[in-house]
Amino acid sequence: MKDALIYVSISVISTVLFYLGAAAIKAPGSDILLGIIWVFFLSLIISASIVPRLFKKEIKN
Amino acid sequence: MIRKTFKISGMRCASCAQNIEKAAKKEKGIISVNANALTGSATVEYEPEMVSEEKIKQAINRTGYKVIGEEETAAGKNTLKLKVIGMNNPHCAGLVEKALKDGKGILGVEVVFATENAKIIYDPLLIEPAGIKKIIKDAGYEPIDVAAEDKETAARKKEIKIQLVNTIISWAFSIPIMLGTFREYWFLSSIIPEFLGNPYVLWLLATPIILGPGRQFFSGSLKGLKHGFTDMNLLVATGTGAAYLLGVVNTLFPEAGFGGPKVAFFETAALLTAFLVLGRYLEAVTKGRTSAAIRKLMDLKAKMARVIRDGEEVSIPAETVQVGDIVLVKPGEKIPVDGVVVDGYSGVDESMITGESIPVEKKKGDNVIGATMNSTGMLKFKATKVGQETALAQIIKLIEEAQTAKPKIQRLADIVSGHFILAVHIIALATFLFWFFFGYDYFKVAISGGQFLLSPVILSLVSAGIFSVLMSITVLIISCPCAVGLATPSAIMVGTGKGAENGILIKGGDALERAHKVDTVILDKTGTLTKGKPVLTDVVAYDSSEADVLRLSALAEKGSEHPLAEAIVSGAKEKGLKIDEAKHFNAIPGKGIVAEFEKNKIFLGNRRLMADNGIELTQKLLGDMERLESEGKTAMIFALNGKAQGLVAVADTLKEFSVEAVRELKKMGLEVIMITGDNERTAKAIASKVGIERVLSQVLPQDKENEVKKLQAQGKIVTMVGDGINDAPALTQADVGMAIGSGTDIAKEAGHIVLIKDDLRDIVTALKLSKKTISKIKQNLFWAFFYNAAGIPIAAGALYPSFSLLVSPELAALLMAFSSVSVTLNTMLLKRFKPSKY
Repeated sequence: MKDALIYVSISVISTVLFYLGAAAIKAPGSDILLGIIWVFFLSLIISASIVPRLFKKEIKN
Repeated sequence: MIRKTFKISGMRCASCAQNIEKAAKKEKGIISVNANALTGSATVEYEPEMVSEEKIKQAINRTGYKVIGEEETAAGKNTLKLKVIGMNNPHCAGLVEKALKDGKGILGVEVVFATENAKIIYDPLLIEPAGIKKIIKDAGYEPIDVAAEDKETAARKKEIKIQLVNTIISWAFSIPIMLGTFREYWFLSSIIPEFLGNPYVLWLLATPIILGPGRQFFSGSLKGLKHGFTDMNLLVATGTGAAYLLGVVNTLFPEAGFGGPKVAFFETAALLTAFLVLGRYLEAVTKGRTSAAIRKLMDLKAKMARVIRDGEEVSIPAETVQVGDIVLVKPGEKIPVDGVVVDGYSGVDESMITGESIPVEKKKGDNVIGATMNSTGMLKFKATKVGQETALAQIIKLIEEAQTAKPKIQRLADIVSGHFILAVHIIALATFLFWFFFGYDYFKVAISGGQFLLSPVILSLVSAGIFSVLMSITVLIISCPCAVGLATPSAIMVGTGKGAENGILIKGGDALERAHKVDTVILDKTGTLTKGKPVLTDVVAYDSSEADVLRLSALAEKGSEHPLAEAIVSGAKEKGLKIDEAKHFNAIPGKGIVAEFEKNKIFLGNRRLMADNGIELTQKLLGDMERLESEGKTAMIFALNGKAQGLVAVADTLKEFSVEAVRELKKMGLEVIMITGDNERTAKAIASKVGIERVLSQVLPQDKENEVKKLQAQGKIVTMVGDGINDAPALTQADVGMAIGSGTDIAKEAGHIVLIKDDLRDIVTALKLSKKTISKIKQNLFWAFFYNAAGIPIAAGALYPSFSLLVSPELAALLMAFSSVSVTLNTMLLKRFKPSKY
């Protein structure tokens, strides 16, 4: 549960950053929506892969 | 500690194998896990007090793969699976269990009445499978070996069938989707009905593909993600899922800005799935073919056997033959089990087991191997090894284990693959962000008028968002590291199978890896370079008669099993001498024999034995000894009661092809060394006959291992070739130990490679095969990484600025499937390997 929260949090942060960037360049609403979903999804997968490895390294150290 | 190999279905590539290893290792009590996608198995070493087999299976099943069978090996406990015939009710099962549990060495028993299966865990040091079967027979039931491999064959066939059905379904729906999508191009609108171009119809056709053949990618991804694993399923699921969902949104809301009806997301999702499923089908088929060597061996088993029971000849299933049965084999029939000929004379074709093409003559006292073909005469033999103990069963087991053991190069590839998936997702995200925020406007994609290769999507019709997502999907699809996962195991599978066809059993990928780096070959003399059957050549007497010298020497050697002793005893018998029994007998390794007879003390051995016992040697004796040794003979000094009285010389002959084999090894650039316990003079004489310059002589048996170590300390990669049982320490110490002439005693042989035939040319073949196999692995890995290394930047749009070329997701799927198939096809070329003829 704790892990899932971390992954979702990282994904949300990434998505918010994307939104701010997309809004700044005045991207169309449909593109922003599409981008939010895509960035959230990919960030979730990336954080779900990286975070456990980082934790494992910490435990080892 | 227990080591168990689990047969697992559903493994596709290296990342699948890694996922299984990670899942199993999470359980407490696991010592090591080694999973192999190509053989579909995982070998687990674990402490049974800390974790049960059931928990391990559950851990593996939770990752989305299914355990379909298991086999326990080594570490003080063996498992035997049998079918028990004759049980009429559950009480019978209880009776069999009790009978077995009362047996010495039985550690666990499970007998199931309904399936007639019995699983027995036993200590191989206390009881053998034959003993277990006897207990069951004595209890009144008939034990039969279970063909465990049938389950694996069935699972493979099922996998091929499923993927074939998936392929047919996906293409059956994809083709109309393609026709509907491309309807407005060229002249197609005149022949393709209009309704096929309707987005709702395309949606209807695409959905069965995603929910049917495509479902395996989604279910595999979900199961992996639950445990924090990312594998190729995730890459594919992300790509196809995104394309399909975009298609749905675009169909329901064509004005939403996702490109409208002209943008073919459904075609992308359908073709992606169709190509990838086709790749899976071809992978399943080629997996079956690469393990053809094992299938071929398994098909060699005879089905029926003719045995003599109670004086009558009866025909019974081959698996019911017992040790001790007298078996009859007529000309043209397959020999059902291993045994010793008790009557008859025939030529036997052993090529299917040993690779020896010329039929081998068999007469009384000769061993016969199960699954070989009796050619010319009738043979009657006594069964000595049946079921899982036969040479054939041992070879199959050895090959299967060899194909699970990973060489370092594969472990490296697995680690790279594991990190690769993560890297790909990062690159896919970076690709999306690049094109979204910068590339689309900078390179003026909207006004370029180009399109994706092999796709109807016109760039001017898609927004920056859609374009960037499509680029991202393409990166995901083209990056699949399946080819990397196939590169090593497919080559090892074919290489070890090829070796087995030629009577060369390679015990694992590590052995292959080391064998290809070998620069030094040490050949044991007696029994390896020579036939190991010396004959008496000379008897010299001083202050005595030749007959007395020979008679007393034979008396001293009578109790010894050494080949030199047998030569002296045979020589004495041929001369008609009577050989009495010695009162005491003491063999001193590397020196000789000391025996007592009628209060006389006999010494027979080398200079060291005489020096240790203070026996003086005359110049004449030493001169005669040197002369005999320079002729390549082994001369032994005979001394009686402290006085040297004669010499006895024996000579061993070189094996056929030993000169040719040494020549070939030297041609390969290897240093060839001969090692022997013989004195330097004799050793050098033999070595010069065979073409070896460097000789390690007067090496005691226990010191052979140290000689190997010395060479290794000089940085050499050493192959030691010798007797698998007697030279075990040296073979084990060597980087590659080769046991030659093992015959049927494969399981007992030390060393990393077992050469069944007694042919030195097999050393050359084994080393050449290992070089070819490793070379094939490197080729495969190069191409696999090349596909990815080249494909990813191109998929990310690297060629667009200069050439306006863009790879579509469909083309990426085709290239990805092609990469796996091309690696496997490249491996198939290894099947053309043939031993050199000379």
